[in-house]
Amino acid sequence: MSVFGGGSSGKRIFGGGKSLFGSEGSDEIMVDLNLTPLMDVMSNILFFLLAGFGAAIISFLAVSVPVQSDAPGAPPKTDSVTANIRIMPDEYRLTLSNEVVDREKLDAHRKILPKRNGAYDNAAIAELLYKVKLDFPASDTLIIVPSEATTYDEIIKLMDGAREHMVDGKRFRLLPKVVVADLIKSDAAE
Amino acid sequence: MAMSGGSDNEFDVPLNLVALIDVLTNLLFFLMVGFAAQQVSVAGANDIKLPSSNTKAEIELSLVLAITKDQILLDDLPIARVVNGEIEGAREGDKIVSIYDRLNTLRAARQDETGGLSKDDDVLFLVADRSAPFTLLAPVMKTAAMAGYPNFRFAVEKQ
Repeated sequence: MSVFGGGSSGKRIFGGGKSLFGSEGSDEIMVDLNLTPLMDVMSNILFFLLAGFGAAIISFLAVSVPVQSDAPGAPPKTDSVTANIRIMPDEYRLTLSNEVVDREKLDAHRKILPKRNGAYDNAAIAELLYKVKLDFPASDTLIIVPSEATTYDEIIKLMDGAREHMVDGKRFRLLPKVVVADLIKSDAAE
Repeated sequence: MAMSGGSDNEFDVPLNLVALIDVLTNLLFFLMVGFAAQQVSVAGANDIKLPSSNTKAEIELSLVLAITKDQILLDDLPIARVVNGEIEGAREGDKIVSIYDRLNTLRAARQDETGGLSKDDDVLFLVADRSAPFTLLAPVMKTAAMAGYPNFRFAVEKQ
């Protein structure tokens, strides 16, 4: 019996004729690959990645703190004001500031918004800021002055309310630039 | 049409899994890349619950400052301890010395690497629990501003 083929009486093991191991002269080996367990593992990984991906998508809100600067500030404009919101324990206090606009126009937007059902009324603050934006379209800055009891979540919710407002189904940009000022340590009279 | 068996009507239908594996592999790959890019990993801060927000901003990572119930971490390294809602450590007025020194060191090192100021050099990515009182955040933010980081990105979960 010849292992390498040839010979009229030999039984070929490798090559020669057609067999499980390939056709004559070929060294190819056909292997059936079982894809089922691979698919099983990948489906599981995919499922958990999808679940985890949807559960925690992180974003951010840009904020700054006031910094003393020696450079002269930009000249104030009459169509732009800075909104100030003091977060008191039971209410929001909204005031506007601008050096060149009439005091009466600024005071027309001064408001106190008490809490509603124990929570700050961010929808109402958005409405108020929308009216400010209509009167002073170039305004884009909000200064938040938290109190000692204010939490991180409350500041975020206020920023959300002050960033944009839905008008007739469209997003209207309010005050995207936010500055977080220092705490108010006591309920000082205005 | 292949029929097997004697009198039964079963059909052998070979299922081509290769195409399915191809699609799954691609999905897996892109999900993993996206997931890794979005991950904000903060050591020892597994108990932080971020507040949710309707912002659409895509995350841009910068130096990560995490404030947990027990400690303050800068890029996963603890730099100060928090005990009963108060930050422990030496102070010089409003400045928390350990945080100030560490931020200054990092800032100087970064400027050495980049040869000057570059984007995000004055930005900190702030990660804090939604219930964290502002009395805890305020001194940290003030100290960071003194160290040349007046801008922050407040970490939130997208709604």
